[in-house]
Formats: sequence, C-alpha cells, structure tokens
Amino acid sequence: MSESSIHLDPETLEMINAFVSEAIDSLDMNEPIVELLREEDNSEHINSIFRVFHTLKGLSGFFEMYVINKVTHEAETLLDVMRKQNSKQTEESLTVIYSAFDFLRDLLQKVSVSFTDKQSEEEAEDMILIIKDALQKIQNPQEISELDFLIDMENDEDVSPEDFFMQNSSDEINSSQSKKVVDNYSNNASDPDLTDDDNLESYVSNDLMEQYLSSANELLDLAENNLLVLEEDPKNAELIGSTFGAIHSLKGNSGFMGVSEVEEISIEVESILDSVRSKELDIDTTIISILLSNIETIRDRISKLQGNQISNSVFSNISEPKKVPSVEMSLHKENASLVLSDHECNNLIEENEDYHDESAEETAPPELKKPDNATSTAQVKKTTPPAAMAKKDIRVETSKIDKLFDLVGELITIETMVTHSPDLNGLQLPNFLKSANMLNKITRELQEITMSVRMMPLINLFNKMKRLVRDVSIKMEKKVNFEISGEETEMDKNVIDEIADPLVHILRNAIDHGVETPKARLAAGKSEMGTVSLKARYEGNEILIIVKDDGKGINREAILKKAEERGLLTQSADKMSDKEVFSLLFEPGFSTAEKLTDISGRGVGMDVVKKNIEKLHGSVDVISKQGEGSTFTLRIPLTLAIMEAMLIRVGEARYALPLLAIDESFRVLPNMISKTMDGLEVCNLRDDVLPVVRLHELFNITPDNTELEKGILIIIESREKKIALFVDEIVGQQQAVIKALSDYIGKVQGITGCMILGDGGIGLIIDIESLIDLSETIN
Amino acid sequence: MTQNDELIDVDDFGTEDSENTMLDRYLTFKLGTEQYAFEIKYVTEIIGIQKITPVPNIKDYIKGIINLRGIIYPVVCVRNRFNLPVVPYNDRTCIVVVNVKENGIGLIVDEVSEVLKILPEQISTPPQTNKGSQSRFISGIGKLANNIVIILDINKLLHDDNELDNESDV
Repeated sequence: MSESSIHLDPETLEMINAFVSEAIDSLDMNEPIVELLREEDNSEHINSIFRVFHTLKGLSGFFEMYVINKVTHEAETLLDVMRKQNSKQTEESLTVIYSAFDFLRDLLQKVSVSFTDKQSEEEAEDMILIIKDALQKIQNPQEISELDFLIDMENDEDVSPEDFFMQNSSDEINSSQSKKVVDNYSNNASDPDLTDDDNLESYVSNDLMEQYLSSANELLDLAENNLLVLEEDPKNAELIGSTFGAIHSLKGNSGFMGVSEVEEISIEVESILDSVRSKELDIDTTIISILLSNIETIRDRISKLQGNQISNSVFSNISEPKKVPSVEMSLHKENASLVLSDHECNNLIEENEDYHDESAEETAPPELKKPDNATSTAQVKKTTPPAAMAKKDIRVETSKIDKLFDLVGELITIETMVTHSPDLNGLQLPNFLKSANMLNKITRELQEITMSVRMMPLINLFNKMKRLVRDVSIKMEKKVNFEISGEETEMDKNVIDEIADPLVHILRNAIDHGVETPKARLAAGKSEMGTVSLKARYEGNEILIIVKDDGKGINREAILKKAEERGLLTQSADKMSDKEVFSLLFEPGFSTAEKLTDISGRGVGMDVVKKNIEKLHGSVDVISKQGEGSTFTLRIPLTLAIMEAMLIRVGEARYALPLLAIDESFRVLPNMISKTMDGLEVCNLRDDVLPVVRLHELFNITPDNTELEKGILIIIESREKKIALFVDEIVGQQQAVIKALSDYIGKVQGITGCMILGDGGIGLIIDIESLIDLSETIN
Repeated sequence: MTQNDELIDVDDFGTEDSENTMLDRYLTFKLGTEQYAFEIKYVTEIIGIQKITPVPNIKDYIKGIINLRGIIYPVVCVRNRFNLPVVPYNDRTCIVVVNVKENGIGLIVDEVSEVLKILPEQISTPPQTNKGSQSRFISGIGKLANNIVIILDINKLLHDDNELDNESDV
C-alpha cells in the first residue's frame, strides 16, 4: 500500500498526527459507552465499541502500524463475539476492554512522538493474550449463535468427537467451542479483504467518512497549490515529492474508504507524478494542466460525496460528472485562473471539456460568466447547503480564539468609552443614542458568541470521572454507584482544564475516605452499594460542581485532633463552627487518612484543590454530617477573563471587587464601631465582630475623608475570613474584562490585575484573599 | 530590515554603510540640563505625559500603569531612578515606550530631544564607579561636536535593582 520512504514525508507525518489525535479522541469519546455494555440491551453499544476498534485497525493498517493493527484486530474479534452473543457483559470483560483502551491510548501517544508503534511490540503481545483470554471466558454454551453452529458444522470432524466426549461437562464444551469460534474469527478477520469487503459499508461511519472527505480536500488543496508553484519552478523536487505524497495519501485513503472513483483517478495522477519524479517526464504547462484538471475532477467527486454523505447514499451516484460547481470549487477555480495565464487556461480547457464549461471566459470566475447574475447566485446557493453541512466544524488554534476574545474585550471597553464620552454630556443626540444602542446590542451578542466558542460541555470531563470512579472503587474494594447529572453544562475550555485535577482529588477522596467498605456499610444499616454523585449546574454567573457521597462523613474530632498535632489550630476547638473545622481540610499539609494509600492521602491534595479553584476565582465548600456523607461544592465563575465586579472609589483611585466576595455594604452608624486599646477598629455587625480595614491605608492613597461615617463599609469574605473594607463610594456594578498588570511590575499584594474603565481610566482589581492577608500583616 | 534611505537622517558621519538602519542610532532626551540617550531599537513610540494610575506597594520608581489603546504599560520615572529631584510634569514631559525583554514599558523623561547617530569610536567607556551608584546605568559617554551625551544601558536601567540602590531609593 505504501513504501518505506513515505515515513520521511512531512505530509505523512502530519497525517499520522491527525490519525493519532483523532484516534485518541475516538477512544475518549467512546470510553463511557464501555460502561453501558453491562446492560441487557447492549447491541448498539457493542457496535459502537466494535467500530472504534475496527476504524483504528483499518487506519493503523494504512499507516503500517502493525502493532496497533494486531491489538485492535484482537479487540475487534472480542467485540464481534460479544455482539454475536448479545448478552450483558461481566465486570471482567469490561476491564479487558478498558485496558485495551488504555493500552491503545498510551501507544498512540508514543506514536505521536516516534511515528512508529514498533517499540511496544512486547506489551502488545501481553495485551493480545489478555484479550484472547477474555474471549475464551465470555463464550456461553447456551447461546450458540447460528454462525457458531455453522462453524461447528464446518469443523465437524474436529468438534464432534470432543463434543461427544465431553457432553456432560458444559463448561469444557464451552471453552473448546469458543476456541474454535475464536480461531475461525481470527482466520476470517486476518484476511482483510474478506472482513473489509463484507463489512465495509456498514462500518464506515459517517465520522470516518467526514474525516476522509475533509482530509481529501486538504490534500487536493495542497496538491493544487504545489502544482501552481511548480509551473513557475518546475525543478523543485521537494514540491514534486510533496504533491506525489498528497495524491498518494489520497489514493490510499480512497482505497480504504472504498471510493473507487477517486482511487482510480488518483492512481493515474500518481503515475504521472511518479514519472515526473523519476525525471522521465518534464514538467510543462500541459502536464500541469492535465494534473490540475484531474484534481478538479477528483474534487468534483469529493464534493459530490460530501453532498451525498448527508443522505447516506455515499457509494452511489458518484460516477456522474457534476454539473454545478460548489462555492468552494468556484473559489478554487478563481484562484487557479488568477494564476494561470490565458494561454495556459486554454491549454487546460482543451484538456478537459468538463472544466471548459465551468471556466469558459479565461480568467473570469464561474459566477460571473453568465450575464444574469441572479440565476448564478441562485445556482450557487442551491449547492451550498451540502458543502456547509459536511463541514460542520473546524479545528481552530486556541491562541486564535484567545486573541479574538481579547479583541472583543477591547471592543466592549472602547464602546463604553465612545458612548459614555464626556464630550457628549449635555448634548441632545437622539440619532446617536439610537445607533449607540444598536452598537451595544451587537457588541453584547458578539461577546456572547465569542464566549460560547470557548464554552464546552462538561461531558468529556465527567466521562473521564466515570472511569476514575470505576478504577478507584475497584482498587479500594468498595461498591459505588456513580451518578452524573448536568454534564451538558458548558464551561470555558480553559476552566475545564483547570478543574479536572481538583475534581479528581475530590472524587478520590469521596471514595477512599468517604464511602465505607461494603461490610461497614451493611453494619451501619446502609445499602452495600455506596452512592457518589457528580452534579453541575449554573447559578447566576457561576457554575456549581457538586460532589456528594453517602459515606461516613467527615469526623470533626479527627480533623481537630490532626489539626492540633500539626499546629494548625488558631482558636479553641469548641468555638469553631463545623464550617471552620472542615475548612482545615484545605490547609496545606493536612491529611486525615489513617493509612496512606496510593490513591489519596498523600498529605497533598485538598490544599491544592483549594488553590487551583481559587486561581479560577472560585471557591470550595464542604458540608458533612457524620454517618451520612459529605458534599463538596465547587463554585467557579463561568469564564476566566471576564468577571462581574463592584466598582468602588477611594479618592481618585478606582478599584474593582469581585462581586462573589461581597457579602453586603452599608453606611456606618456610630454605635457600630468600637476601638480596641491598640487602636484596632472593629465593626459590630449583628453577631459578628469584624475588623475594619481602611483601603486608603493599605494602598497609601488619599481618600475623600477618613471618617468612617462618611464613607461606606463593604463586608468581603475569603477563606472564612471576613473584613469590613472602608471606601469612599460604590461606583457601580459592571463586567470587568480582566487584564494582567505588566510582568515588569510582578506580583502586587492585594491586586490581581486591572481593567479599563468606561472613561479610559484604569481600575485595579482587588484580590480579596491577599488583601485580607495584607491587612493582617499591617495590623 | 531593509535599507530605506528616506527614513534615515543623513548626517555628518559619512556614508551609510550599515545593513541595519537602527545601528548606532540613539534617542536622546533631557533630564534637567543633561543629555541622555539609549539605543533607538528599543523605542516603540513616544507619547505625551498622560494620566498614570498608581499601583500600591510596588517599587518607588514605577509610577504606575497607563492605558495606551487598550494595552496596559507600566511607567518608570527615570528621574526617580536616578535619584534626581522630582519636578512637576509639564507639556514637554514625555513617556518613551520601549520594548525590553518582551516587556512594554514607559519611561518618563523631561523632554525628548532628537535621534542621533553616534559611532562606536565616538563613545568612551563610562567612568569607573562603585556598583551601587546610579552611574551603573551608564554604558558609555558619547562625545559629539559640541556636547556630551550620557548613553544608558536600558537593561540595567529597568532591571538592575542593586541592594544599595534600593536603600537609597526608599
């Protein structure tokens, strides 16, 4: 199918990369389905998993990765047997499938570095043994399918004596039969023609087809561009090689996908390119034209396929030449014709009548060739939907999205600056206001869309957690029923990445420390099966992620004891509320696990959880009741870059406080304030006594006034600590687009960043936690 | 970097033989009566003084931050850095925005003078000093026809926080 030199070809390397990332995606996506195999009606799920292996097998074969090929082949066989059996699967066989997933994922990761899978041959052997072993185990004599039966018939000579011999021991019959079946399948499947021809149509998933089509388009683009350059620079061997590689890959893919039309043309193009490469043929405009027109023909077929894919009639109708070019094609032709001279175009036209029809007027793009523009537009429109539907998503570098995000932030700021410009004060501008309103609407919408681009549902993360819970509970010998809800909740991609680790920690803890062993649960009068739930939902501008278990709960006394040992107690234990006690869990170096396990309790963990969440401007809460379980609640703002803020003023300086951290604000009455003998001011608020922190003192600025009664006190809270912050005035509430202070300035205590205000000025964004720390050091 | 003669101030220092139009070119500015200079390649733009938002609890010579078309720049007061007496800003006070080590930073100077070509042979080594003194920021003395320019090492100016210097700064 391919030759050894192809491994050096950057085009192939790129394809391998695409293969690896798509294969890993597919493993990740389908992993949660494995869990469903234990259900009764699982044929659909088995098919899905089967397809994963099948696709991987096909592609790895194409890329000559025979280790992956072999393993997936075995796994596929296993699934095939399961499918024929059509019964629910045991824990054991699920474990095998999971480990096959893991193995493949690891291997694929290695492939992405080394571009070969040969280094893992030995591990693969082990894996194959495990799978084969599982195969033997899953067969059940009561449910010999028709095919098994047939096989038995075919192998009559071999089987019947055994059959006869071991009539009374159904187990043994079972295993011997299974062996036969396995062998038969192995033989069957090891002959690729047989399997592929039989099954191809049903197994070529839409996804795979879509990948093929988009990669085909890319390859064609590449080839086409190369050819156009080659025309100027016919001796460029690198370009010839790369063009050859592209067409070669296309040929291979098409062969694999069974798109014979494209394959045939590609073979022709490839052979021309081959003669060019071996210098038998010199590149001239005629050759280029022939090649280009052939590429156009392939493109035609591909577009057709793209259209057809929707209606699922992939393999029919592709041989008719296409009459109406799609928009994409027209664009390409436009490009092409701009580069080609008239003469070359004519050459091209002579070569290919089809093409002639479409590009008639030398350099004119096809849309313009007819005098009646309306009809041609209509024509274009008619062909657009299939192409657009076939390409429903594109991969975009995250850096581009971040840039877009930044720009939208700028836009919002500038918009406020323009519409609230001081120059406008006192002017009657009805038309301006109207336009300003429209502008505002559009920028809001733009912001929402931009945000939504980065938003991803939590489902992938949650699915990973399913797997984690399964592994941990098996390892800890605990029975856990894991419930998930709200996985459709969407979150900023960057935030999702950041909460994965904390979530892993919390879930591990819930199972390791929370849920009791089945014995202990029964003794406590609970059901043997513990329940751990993972929920997500929106609440205002935040997302709540809640992990709840019905285990033994957190032992207040144990925490206090440990905290005392480690010198973490700052006040008398009796006075501490449960909330305060539980928050000790998040102190660095705290771990209540009586024995260290390899899963949790390494003394790191919860404090890291807290730190990570706070980095996201979020918070963690614990509620727990001894004997009934614990609930961990993560509150995370929807996105990192924009924050709901309360704008305050002290003298000339303006600051933004994260709205999340504000409890309340009020004007001070004289009787609320008392002064301790060392001059510390405190505010009596209902039952609380809170220290008063004057922001102007912390930040060394001149306030409007220093009398507490004339300003505002804002109660802010972080890490269970509350202070009353004294400021001149509350300016208002607004969305803050968070910008970093310069690296040059470095970390500033009490400040996390800054925002640009409506008048073009800068507001500093206060970091509540470090502000409270700062106030403590000063006092 | 292409050679573009139109952009070059053709001056008295002979033929243009450099590949790099920025080579040997210095932006000169004034603090009080003294002329200072640093290499033009660091300069991205020069703007008039504008409202500076102070940032609490940072180094003395960093006056705060400014918003320049949506980008935040920290601003360093060069007078402050040199321990020179602070003078009120006026309409000649400028912020020279430089880009050093990927950081955009504004430098407040009394007055920007001109762009000069100073050839290496016109530059003599700086006076020997003890490390802590402000003269560690000097990379050389440029001797021109009728005046002397103090050439600054912008990296040291921005990043060299010598202990001694900090003491004298605070």
